[in-house]
Amino acid sequence: MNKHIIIRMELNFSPPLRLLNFLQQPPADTASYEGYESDVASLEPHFNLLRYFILPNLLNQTHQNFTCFIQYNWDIHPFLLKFFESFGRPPAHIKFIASRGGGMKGTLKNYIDASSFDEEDSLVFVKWDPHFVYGLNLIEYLQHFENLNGEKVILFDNGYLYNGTTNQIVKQTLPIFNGMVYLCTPKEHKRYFRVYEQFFLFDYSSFSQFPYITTQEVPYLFLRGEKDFKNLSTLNPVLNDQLSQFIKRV
Amino acid sequence: MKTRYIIYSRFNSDIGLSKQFHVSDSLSEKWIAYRLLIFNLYTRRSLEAQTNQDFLSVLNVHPDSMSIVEAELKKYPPLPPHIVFTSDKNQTIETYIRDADQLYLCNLDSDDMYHPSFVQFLHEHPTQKDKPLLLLKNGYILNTNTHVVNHYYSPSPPFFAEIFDVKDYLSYARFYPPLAHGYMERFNHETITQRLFMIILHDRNTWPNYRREVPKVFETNQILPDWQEVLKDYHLI
Repeated sequence: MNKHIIIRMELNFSPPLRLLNFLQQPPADTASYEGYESDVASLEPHFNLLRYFILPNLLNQTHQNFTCFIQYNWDIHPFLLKFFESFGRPPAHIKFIASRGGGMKGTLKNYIDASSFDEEDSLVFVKWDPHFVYGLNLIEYLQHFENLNGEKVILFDNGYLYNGTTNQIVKQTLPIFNGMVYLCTPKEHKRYFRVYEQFFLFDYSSFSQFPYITTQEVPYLFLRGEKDFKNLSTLNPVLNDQLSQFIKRV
Repeated sequence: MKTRYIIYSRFNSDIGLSKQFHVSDSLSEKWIAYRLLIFNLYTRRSLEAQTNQDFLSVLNVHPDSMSIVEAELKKYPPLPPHIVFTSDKNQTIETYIRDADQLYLCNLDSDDMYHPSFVQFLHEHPTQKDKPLLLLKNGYILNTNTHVVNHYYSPSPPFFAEIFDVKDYLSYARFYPPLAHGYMERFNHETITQRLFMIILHDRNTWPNYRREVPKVFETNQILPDWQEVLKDYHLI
């Protein structure tokens, strides 16, 4: 029986409406668009999260045997292309998919069907909120995890909170509900899971009836406060040290 | 291979993904008394008339109303042991299927009827591995006030049978929240064309749109030429 770790993440930000309208019109002179620079700049914190936290967290996992699907709003497509031009495309196992024509659900269905997994293999779905990063041992932990008591859900209970506004990291005292891991087989996914997720959000409240386990083995960091996120070099050594368990510095 | 057959009815419990079928009054003595009257007149009749009695009927009761249900049931003849009102459906079902390999989990609203041949049909019907859901889309509808009966069709009715390996049911299916029956057609399914159910129209159906859906049964003239045979089939005359 093989285990397949599938990370699913959704970037739910869009350009401001007037920027969106501007992009959808025939090419126009940006000089005539008052506020163009500030509207484009409003997207920067989101891309900073991607550049400085999410992608490093994924790429520096001690185990890279996973597939990550990151769904983005089609409206940010031109900005995402610019982002890739500047910083390079991620490797093949981190896939950006647009939220149209089936989006995440259709892509996952096709991916699982096309992969010819054995119907009793283990699918490990990681529902990953883009404002969170995990310890670099996440994939390793999931690879070795055995649900000996029939657990279907893993919740993470060793949390920290980084406030980008105040530049502080504090311990979080509640188990995380925004991110969780769900375990199923391709057989269950085909028969049940993919139908349920067609029409409702699989959040924690939906999973509250499923047997679960909480773990302290993988820390997580909740990134709160849409600030710069990029001035990591100005952070104090204690903060740097705390962050290093989530992202390696290059 | 040992197979167990369960006919499950949500008497006044279960909140699904949408709350459309949650009836706000369903814990009251008045509601319970009325629904148990309908149950005994129609649904129980169809269960006891099954030509094959190899099944368990489970009616899920909200725990806060169990004492009312039990008191009300005492006004009727005792139920046979395989028709059970319970406030712990999981325990009841899991105990029943524990030694089995396969489970047929059928849905029946607690005011409707299956044809007396339904359970036997399940025993005999060859199933398809990639279609583990039987959707009964054709049946009858009876207006108990006018005694008019007509054909009834729905693309996703509350009459269906899910087929599980017991180990799959125990490992995941039992945890998924129940769905409104309108969603069932989204699952891989086989359509059953035989008319094996009867919807009972009474004074307080929870679905409010029957009058718009099937206006002719609200008139006085019979519609089907064989209406008497149909009612006899269901042991109603």
